[in-house]
Amino acid sequence: MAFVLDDMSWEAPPEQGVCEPLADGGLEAFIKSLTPEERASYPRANLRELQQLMAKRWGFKYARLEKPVPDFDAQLRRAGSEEALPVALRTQIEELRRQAGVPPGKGTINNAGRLFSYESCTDPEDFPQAAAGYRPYDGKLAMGINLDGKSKRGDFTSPDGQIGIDNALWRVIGCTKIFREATERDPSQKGFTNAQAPTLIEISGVDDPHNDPDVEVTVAISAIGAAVDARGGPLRNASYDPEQEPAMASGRGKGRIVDGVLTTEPFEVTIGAKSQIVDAVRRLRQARIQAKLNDDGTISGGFYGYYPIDSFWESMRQFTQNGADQTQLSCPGVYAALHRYADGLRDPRTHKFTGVSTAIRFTGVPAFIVRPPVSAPASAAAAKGS
Amino acid sequence: MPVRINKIFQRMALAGSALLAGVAAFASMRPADQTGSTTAPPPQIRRLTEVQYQATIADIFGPDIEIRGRLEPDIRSGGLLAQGSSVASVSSAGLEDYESLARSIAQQVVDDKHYDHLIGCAPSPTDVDGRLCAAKALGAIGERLYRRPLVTAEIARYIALVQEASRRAADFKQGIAAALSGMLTSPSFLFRIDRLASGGGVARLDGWSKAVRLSYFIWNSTPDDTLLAAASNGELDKPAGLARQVDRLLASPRMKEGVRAFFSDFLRLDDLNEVSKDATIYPAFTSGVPAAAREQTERTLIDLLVDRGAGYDAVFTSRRVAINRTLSPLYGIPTPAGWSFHEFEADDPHTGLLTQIAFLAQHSHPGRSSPTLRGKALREILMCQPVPSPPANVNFAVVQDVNNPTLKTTRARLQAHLDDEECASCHKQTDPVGLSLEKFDSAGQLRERENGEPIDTRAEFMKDHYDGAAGLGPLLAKNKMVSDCLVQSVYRFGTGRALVPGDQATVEGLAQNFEKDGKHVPALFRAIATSPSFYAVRAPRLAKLTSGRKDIPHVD
Repeated sequence: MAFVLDDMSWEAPPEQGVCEPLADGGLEAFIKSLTPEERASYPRANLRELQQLMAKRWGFKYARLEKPVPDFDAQLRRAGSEEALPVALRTQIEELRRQAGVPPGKGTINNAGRLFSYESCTDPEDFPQAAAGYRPYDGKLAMGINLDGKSKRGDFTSPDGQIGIDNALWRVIGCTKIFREATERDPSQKGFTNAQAPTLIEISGVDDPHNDPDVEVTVAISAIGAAVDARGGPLRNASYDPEQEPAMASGRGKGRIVDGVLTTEPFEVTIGAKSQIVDAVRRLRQARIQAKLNDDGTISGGFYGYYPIDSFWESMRQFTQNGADQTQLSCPGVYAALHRYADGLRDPRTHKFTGVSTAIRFTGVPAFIVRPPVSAPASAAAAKGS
Repeated sequence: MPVRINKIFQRMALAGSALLAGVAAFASMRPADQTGSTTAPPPQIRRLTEVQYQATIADIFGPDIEIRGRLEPDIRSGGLLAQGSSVASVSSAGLEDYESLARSIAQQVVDDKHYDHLIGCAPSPTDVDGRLCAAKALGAIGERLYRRPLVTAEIARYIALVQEASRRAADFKQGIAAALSGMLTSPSFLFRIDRLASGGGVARLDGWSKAVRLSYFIWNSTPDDTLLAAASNGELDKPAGLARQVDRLLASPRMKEGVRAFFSDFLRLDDLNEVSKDATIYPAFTSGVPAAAREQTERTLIDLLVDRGAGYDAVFTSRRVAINRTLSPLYGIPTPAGWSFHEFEADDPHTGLLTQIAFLAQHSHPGRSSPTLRGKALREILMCQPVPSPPANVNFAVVQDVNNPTLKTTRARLQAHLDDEECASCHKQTDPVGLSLEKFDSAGQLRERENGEPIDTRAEFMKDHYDGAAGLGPLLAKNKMVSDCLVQSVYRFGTGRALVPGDQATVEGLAQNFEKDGKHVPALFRAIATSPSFYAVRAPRLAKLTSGRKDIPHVD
């Protein structure tokens, strides 16, 4: 059986008042740094002038590309690092750095390949002043599971009373406005849908959908957008092609179904993060799936695992590439907090944590994953699904 | 700046052709013995259907010429648009649409992308005003558009139009565009006008008219250069030459377009454009489904009857169906991107044409299935057996109450409706076969239960008892009315008219051979296209009735 996930979100607890006031974004931090006279001269209504002053004063640097670099983010993802990009592109980036007066190794190509940027979201460590006003989530409750089997300082309690809940990412972003979609006060329940590259889950080896001690679970990113039904909702039983790019692949997880609830062992999961100008992936390490296989054929549950800071930040960098100063987010504040609250994926060399625990809620409807045939002819496509 | 052609001339010409079309069609519908002449039908004037118009423009100017606008709606007569084309005229609003399209097409032909390869000449020192260029280019294009050579006076008129329009616009290309607009709005282009050969004493179609009849029958488009050459050199007037051209047309992959056009017309697949479903009940019936369902049926039929060479029987028993991702959610099966074929298992209820979404969804209500509509469609379309419409005062309350707590299935509700003797007489013809398809809902999705009740698909068809679509298919496959209906429908599609008494022997012979030879549809096309009856015509008596002109078919 297979599913396409129609909704994913940071799993947020039912809490009230914990995040008052919300964390300041970069622009708010800058405005607060101005003198009263300057604030009078640069009202919020004059956003462009305010942003120009912010860039000038904080040392943001830009160089416009004469010819846009197509699919830069995808190229970077496939290469794995700037050093592995084609020589011509690396040379171009170096030239852009020189033009913009950006230090070696800093800045990147942003804005759908049109602008080389060096600012607080491309290089958050270089602009600590933008972190003023940032605050973490310091409530007691959080969604998630106890990933490490321990109950330790900093862990949360789940709304149903379980202790030892690991969800460090919520501590980092839980009071940041852009992660709280509906209103400033209510926690987000729809942090990110992903219609352009929905995530697919396939459960194979299922003998009994209610109880099966041995199933295998794979996760994939769809190469095509989510199909929509006549009501505007997710279309059931649509067929999806999984992305074949190695950098977008997930591992395979062993699992079991007990009373209709699927639980997997930890495995590597890669889910999509593609919308508008963003073309990133979210990598979860040591991730588990706990999900209910509902009688109506749908699935609802969550991914629970450790989110490498690098992977999280790549998606953040892309989400903010139209200019950190235009967002309601303090990149330096979040970036510093990620390192401060990191609680998993310890680097064996530095002994530092490099990932944050997280919980991602999802719902999905039945779908088919159609893998390309192993060999020609193309017409005899090998279809595999429920 | 585009230059408009002489609109008044065009309006007069089109009005005249419309009148002729109507009179000719009227004459064609009268039994031949009442005309007091032969049993052959009179000459025809058939308006190009929308698909034919599009295909013709693509063939002459290239597939990248966009048809930006709408055309006068096609008319269905005797169940066929092809038959309706001989009674179709052009309204004032329709003429505006044709003119608008003509200007758009003409402007594309003379744009920088197309001019050189479609026109290929311009005024030069040896042809200062471009007369030679215009004559050459418009003569060649005109022959394709009019499907016959232009007469000297026509070419002269268009050259004059080019020069006048060129002068006004100070642009030779705009002069060519003006002439092209004129041609594209001419009755000689918009209508397929039968022309009689001169001499011989007996009325007969000339070679050009035969070429047109053949080409639109087998390719659903305009004759190619080879066929026009065969018309010109008399090849089509000799049985061997005619057969050679018929075989050439049938050997071309383009014959699939003719077969496709026939089945689209025969099965009334254009009506799918109007099909919609209640989104809350059938969310998988997305906006793209009607067009995809039409494509599915057409692709499936072409695959079966042409590519795989199966006989017509297989249409009702085959489990192989074309599918794409717009339709696959309705079937609940995986499918690769694009179109592919899916073969259902031997025990799957999906069997043949009647279990395809086009038939099931088209002959249902927006929120519920309809055994009556499905049965009526089967009788009327596939068996050429008219079913009377219900009286205006019928009370449908019981049938429509899908939430009836005691009558949970459509069968139960219909049975209650049939308790009315007056209703029962017609429903007995339609409902049993429709009820055998009840495991398919209004959207064409398979279901086992209705309101929690198991669905009973046992039925009787012409004294044979069977169960479900899989049982119905073989009964339709062996039914003579079904195959006879196809034969006479293909014949009417090709001739564009109702059967006349003179057709009887021909159609009976065609039906016999069709049955005997394995019901191969391409062979049926060949038999019709090589049959003398296909080209039969009697001298028009219209001339005396109208203007007295002797060249009535030559309306230009």
